[in-house]
Formats: sequence, C-alpha cells, structure tokens
Amino acid sequence: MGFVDFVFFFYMFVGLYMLSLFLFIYFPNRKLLFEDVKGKAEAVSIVVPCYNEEKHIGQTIDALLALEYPRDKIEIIVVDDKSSDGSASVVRGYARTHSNVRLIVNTRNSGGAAEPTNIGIRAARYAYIAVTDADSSPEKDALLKMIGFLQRDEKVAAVTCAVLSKQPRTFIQKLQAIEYAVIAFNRKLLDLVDAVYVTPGPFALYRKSALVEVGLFDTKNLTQDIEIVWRLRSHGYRARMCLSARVFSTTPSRFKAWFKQRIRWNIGGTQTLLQYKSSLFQKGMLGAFIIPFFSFSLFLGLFGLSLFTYLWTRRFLVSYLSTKYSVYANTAILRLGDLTYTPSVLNFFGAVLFLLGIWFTFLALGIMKQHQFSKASIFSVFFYMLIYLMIYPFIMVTSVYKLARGTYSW
Amino acid sequence: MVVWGGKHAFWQALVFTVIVFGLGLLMGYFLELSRARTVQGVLFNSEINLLDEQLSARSLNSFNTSCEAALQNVLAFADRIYLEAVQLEEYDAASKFDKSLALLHRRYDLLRFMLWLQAIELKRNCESDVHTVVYLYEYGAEDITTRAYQATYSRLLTDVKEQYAGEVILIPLAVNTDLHSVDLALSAYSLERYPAIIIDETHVLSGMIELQEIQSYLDKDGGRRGNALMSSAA
Repeated sequence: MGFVDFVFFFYMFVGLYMLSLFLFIYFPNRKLLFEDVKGKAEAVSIVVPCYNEEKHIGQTIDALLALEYPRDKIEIIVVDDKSSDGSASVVRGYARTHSNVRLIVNTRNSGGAAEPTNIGIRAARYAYIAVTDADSSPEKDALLKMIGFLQRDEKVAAVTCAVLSKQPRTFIQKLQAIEYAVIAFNRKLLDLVDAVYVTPGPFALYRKSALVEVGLFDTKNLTQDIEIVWRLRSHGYRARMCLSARVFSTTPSRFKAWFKQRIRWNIGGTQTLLQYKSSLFQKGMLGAFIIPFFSFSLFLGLFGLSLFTYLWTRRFLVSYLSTKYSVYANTAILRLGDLTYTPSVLNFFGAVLFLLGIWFTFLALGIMKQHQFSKASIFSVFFYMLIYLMIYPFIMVTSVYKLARGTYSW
Repeated sequence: MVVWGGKHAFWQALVFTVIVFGLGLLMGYFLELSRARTVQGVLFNSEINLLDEQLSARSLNSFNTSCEAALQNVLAFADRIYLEAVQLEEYDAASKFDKSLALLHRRYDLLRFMLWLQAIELKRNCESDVHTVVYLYEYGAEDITTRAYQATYSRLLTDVKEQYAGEVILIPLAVNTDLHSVDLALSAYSLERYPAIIIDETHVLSGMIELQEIQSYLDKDGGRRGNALMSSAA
C-alpha cells in the first residue's frame, strides 16, 4: 500500500468516525432533539445590526414585533451602520409608530456586523440580548423557546436556534436550504455533547453580563458569531442550541455572492482558530473537541485538495500525452478496453461511505422535514453531496490565500 | 439539558469505527486474495499448456507431425495468455494489500518469455511467416511520459493484434521485474528506453512511432495492406 492509498484510507477512517459519532449521539438522544426549556418571559433587548437592508429590514422588524412575547418586555434596537440606502428611514417609520423600536445610526460605516451590534448591546436596557440579522425572520415562538436555556443554567451564556433558508427560489438557494437543515441537525447533535461552536447571526440569544465580561463582539473578526462563542467558552461559559426554535434567513441567490459569503465565513473561522490555538486541549470542549475539529477539518481540506490536484494533474498530463502520441501513431485515442475498470478495496470503501453519507443526509432532512423544513428533491440532495460540498476545499484554499495576503473584507 | 453521558459517544464511535474499518479491510484483503487465487488457477493452467506446446514442438522432429498445427496452437495460446495478462494487470492495479499478484506477474513474465523462445524456435523449424511482436514495458511505471507512451503502445498493439489476427504472436513483457533470463536476452538489444517493441527479434521500435511503421515490418507486400486498412479506417 503506497502513501496515496494510506492517505485515502485515513480520510475514509475519519469520515466514518465522524458519521459514527453523529449516529452514536443521535440514537440514544433522539427524543431530546426538539426539547425546549419553558422559560419565563423576562425582558429582552433585540439588537439588529443593519447595513443597506432597505428591502428586508421592514420584514425583520415585523417578525420581531410579531414574536409571541409580552410587548413590554421587548425592545428592538436597530443599529444602522451608516447605510447608503433608505434603511434608516424605514426604521424611523417603525420607531414613530412603535414605542419599543429604536434606531441608532453609527457615525461611520464599520464594514462589519460586530461594531453596530456592540453599539446596540451598550444601549440595551435589559439583561438578555437577542441579536438578529437585518434580513432574517425568527418564528413567533423562537424567543420564548430559547430563553429558558439561559434561565435554567447560569453557565449558559448563548443560545442559538435552527437557521433555515428563507423562501429558497434559485437552485443554489435550494442547495443552501438542504445545507442549512443538515447543519441545524448536526449542530443540535453537537449540542448534546456540549460542543456548539457558533451562534449564527440570523438569531441568537445572549446573557448581557457575560458579553460585557468577555468584552463584547470582536470587531476585527469576520465571523464574530463564531469568535464570541469561543471567547465565552474560554471564560468558562457554555453555548446551547434549541432546534425547535427557528429563524428563516435570506441566502445568496447567485453563485458569486454565495462564494463570497463562504470565503468570509472561512476566513473568519481560520482567524478564530489562529486566535485560540493556544487553547488546544484546554478549556473543556473548546480545546478538547472544537479546536481540534476545526484544525483537522482545515488541514484535511487543504491537504486533500492538494493531493487531488496533484493526482488529477498527473492523470490529465498522461491522458493529454497519450492522446497526442496516439494521434501521431494513427491509432485510436480511446478504446473500449480503456473504459473497463476493476474496483479496488478503496473504491468499495468510498462507495459505502458515500452511501452512508447520503443516508445520513436523508435522515437529517427527514427529521427536519417533520419540523417544517420543506421537502428537497433527490436530485438536489445528490447535487449537494456530489458537487456543492466538493467546492468547499476550493473555498478553503481561497480563504487561506486571502487571509495570508490580508486581502479580505466583510 | 446537556446529555453529559453523550460524551461517551466519542470513544464509542472510535471503537465502532475501528471494528467496522478493520472488518472492511479484512474483507478487502480476502477479495484480493480471491482474485489472486483466480489468477493463480489460470496461470497454473497456462503453464501446463505451455509445457504441452513445448512437448508438441519437440515431437515435430521425432514424430513428423504438422508444423503448421503446432504454430497455430502457439498463436492461440499467445492470444489466450495475452487476455489473461490484461486481467492480471487490472487486478494488480486494483490490489492494495496482497503482494502475491506482483509475484504472479513475475511468473507470467517468465511464461511469456518462454513463449517467446518457443515461438522463435517454431518459426525457425517451420520456416513460418508468423511474426513475433514483443512489447517491452515498465511494470508500475510512475514517469508521466512513460505511462503516456505505454497507453499509446497498448492501443497500437491492440490495432496490430486485430489487423493481423493469426499472423502475429503478441507478447507483452515487463522489463523491470528482476528476471535474469529476460535481462540477459534484452541485453543483446542495448535498449535505452521503454516502452519498446521488438518485431521478429530484429526490428526495434521506441519513442514516437506510427502504426504504419509497425505494419511495414509485418506486411509481406511492403505495407500495402496496412495502408489499405488505414485508409478504410479513415
């Protein structure tokens, strides 16, 4: 067995381990997936960082006003990051008619969500802070379902919920809808082993005192919603996930915008990883699982892509040269015999792992479907597994390159 | 509620993965072993056949039997072990654990070398027009150019085999399997690069070659048939 074969076997071992891990978490705890801790409706400040969201901000405020939560226990603080469109005037309209809606306009455009969010947190009056993106709509019962997690355990400082795709129309949005549903399912499984590593921007709830204690969101990090959880964890706090609470978020409708978003997420993730590398094997699950998991994923992605590129370049060169020689030799450039293939053990392993992956994806989608995730077509699922996920290593490489060169922005 | 017991999932999954993966590797090993046994069975049969052919050749002088029949048997035998070799190459390429296929490859090379010698002897004794085309290649070649040449030569020789069915004994022979008899025979040709083709023990071709070039050595009528075949293909 050569080096390349060994590497392939290793990847398959890791893939099988991760799949087994999720199944070993899922089966004994499946009844706990959609648990929500009934909490008391205590006062919550909802901070909405907003930049050029004229089209969506109204819907978001409507969704927040429609939350099944006592009106007098909610304040909505929209922090406009010096938008160049009419976002601020839309919010002003709401502020005029709703006493619990406030608008704060940042003095400059910060170029990210962290600074306006911090401004909102500082201005907040209440002990619990919900943060929501300006293009996201939480479900009516989301806040009530989530707050109990904070009230029951003082060490819990952040709660996330299931982020689902809002009205997917284009093909790439439908693929993201699958991805979001699978991620939500996986994140809940990680929650069951206390390994939630992000509270995504679309809707998350925090304990204000904990946020203040750790110094609020990092304005230099491109994924402040990952970094804040790692920081809270490094201070001994925990993060939880409430799968029964949902928020619907607008997803990029075009490939270019999607790619750019993923680059940002990856750069932010890598920034966070570098920032917390000294916590490896320390600080509970942060060092025991989250950091190794992130590092390993990054390494395997980059190494796998390098190996893949090397092997395919070689194959391409052999094909190119043999075609060139065959043309010169006046012989066939392809024969039926060239197409016959005897599968190796690696091929069988790969096929079994792929089928297990498909099965797990359908399992996740099936479970999420019972809870309002719309049905995904088999074609979309296969495309998601075969093409969509394969783009990730390329995103990783681009992200690392941009991070190394310092050519990145929100 | 955080299911703290859920943390056992980490080692449970590890144990489970090790067991499943180990079983998978074991099954893979047995699959390769079964393939090697298949090849071994076929090889054993081919060795008996070659021995049979050698005895047939010897009986030519003693019993005055038909030279043409003996040659036809060698041709048919060469065709058969050519196909067996293709199967062996495929199994060998797919083999990850079992090294016995590499050993079988050496035995096949010996068998094919013996066939070559047998064919030379028969051609000499029978004054036959049958051609021997020996294809010399590198077993497990890593170099890109060599692999590209080998892919091209394989296609070329498949053309030759189809066009000259019954006239050509095609013998693929790996040159780097550490067989002294093969090395000794090839030292007479002072070959510097592979793949190469030796036609009727006299003409050596390597590098960029054309189908027509091979045809010119094989056609009794100076390559006209080869040209006609190429024109019809065009």
